[in-house]
Amino acid sequence: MFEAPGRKALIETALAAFQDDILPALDGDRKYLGLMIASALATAARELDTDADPGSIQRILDGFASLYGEDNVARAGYEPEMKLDMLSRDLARELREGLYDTALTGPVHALLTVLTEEKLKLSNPKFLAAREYSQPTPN
Amino acid sequence: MDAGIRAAVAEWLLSETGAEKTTITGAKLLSGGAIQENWLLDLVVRGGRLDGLEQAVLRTDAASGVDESHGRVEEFRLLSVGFEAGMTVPEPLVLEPTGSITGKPFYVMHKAGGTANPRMLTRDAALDPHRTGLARQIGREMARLHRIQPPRPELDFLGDAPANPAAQRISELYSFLDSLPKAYPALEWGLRWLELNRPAPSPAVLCHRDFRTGNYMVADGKLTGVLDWEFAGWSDPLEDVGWFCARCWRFGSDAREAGGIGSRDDLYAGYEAEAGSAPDWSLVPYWEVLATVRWGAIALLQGERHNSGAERSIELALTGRKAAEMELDILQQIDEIERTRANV
Repeated sequence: MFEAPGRKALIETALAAFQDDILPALDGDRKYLGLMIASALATAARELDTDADPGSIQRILDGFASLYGEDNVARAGYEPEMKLDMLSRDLARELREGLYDTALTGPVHALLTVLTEEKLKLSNPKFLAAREYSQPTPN
Repeated sequence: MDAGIRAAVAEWLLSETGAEKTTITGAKLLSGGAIQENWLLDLVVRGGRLDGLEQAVLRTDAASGVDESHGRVEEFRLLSVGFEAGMTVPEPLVLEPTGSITGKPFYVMHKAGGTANPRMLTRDAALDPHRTGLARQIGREMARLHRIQPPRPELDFLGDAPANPAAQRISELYSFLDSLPKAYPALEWGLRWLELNRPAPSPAVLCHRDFRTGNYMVADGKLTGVLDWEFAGWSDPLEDVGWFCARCWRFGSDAREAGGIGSRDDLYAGYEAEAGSAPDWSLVPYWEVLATVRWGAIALLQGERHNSGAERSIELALTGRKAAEMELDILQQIDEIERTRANV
């Protein structure tokens, strides 16, 4: 990305123009489609921020470290995304096998909350703030 | 709907209903169906069993593939059974099961008036004076539906009723998760809790399994038709109640715990009045958790239809991303249930 405006600015500019000048003129099925387009663009713009900031995935890996220990997280893969995928698979399998049956609302709940909140910060921050479900919902 | 198909449908209607004259003067595609298409037909009918009918809805498959849902033939039979049981559903009129008229099976039913739009039903202040009545009416509708018990030969496509509906649902949900390319530990966690807390089974009855705000029509504060029967099956009656009340189907109107449209007490009161007895309402939170896990898993499956390239759609893509909302709901709902238990 060598040219200005950059990709994030381009998406944001397109989104703003769409919301200001196009969306208000739509109704019915086209309004529904327009809201979906705006939502997809806004999510994509937020995720470009995260690509630049490894904090989100690191917070999840720290959560896993508190359950599995630093060493096991370090061994889980070469790069963060791969680690996250491996660790999620391990945890899913262990849950199904009943490893956490006696303490489902214990530390594993805390880790899953971090994992889910980080996902929501990207896909729908309003849900975290005010339980606002992403719109639109199909009829 | 092109003129040729219109004429073919009109001619078929004529012979099916014994009319002297049937003309389709207009056909408009109604909104809100990813898997099905609904066409509002303007009709002129003289003679036969639909004499004088001016409008009807033709329901058929959309171009896109159909998932695990029932086809139009099965849906017509379900609708007929619901109608005979005294439910408020669009009266099913004629079925074309072969696909020889338009290329795919379809059926024609009465039009239900009003709107199914969840935004409007959960937010419009004009509906406020009617909310008590509406929630009670929905409770009565559910109780009427749940009076239908197996076996019913015309519903043999539903298979045998499960001895333990919750166990069957849990195993279906595990297989949904297993079909996804990624792991979803929060959904696994919810499923494990559902498995460990499974209630004693109650006899399975006919359940709609998608009875939620958005799937019924309302006009002048009254329910005019329960729609979208393609997921119906034998199950625990509380599965319908849990699906209706789950937070993810309140469309942001959380305080109205019955589908975002009314109070839980009113829904339950209507149900009890019609059923003549009360189910164990204390089990509804369990079924709400199950509903939330199910919607989360279905959302991911829909997203996967897009991701896999099978069917590109912005709606499917965004639906997949919604699953995280359900995951957080599951974590919070179960935590709440466990806290309440610990304090008792």
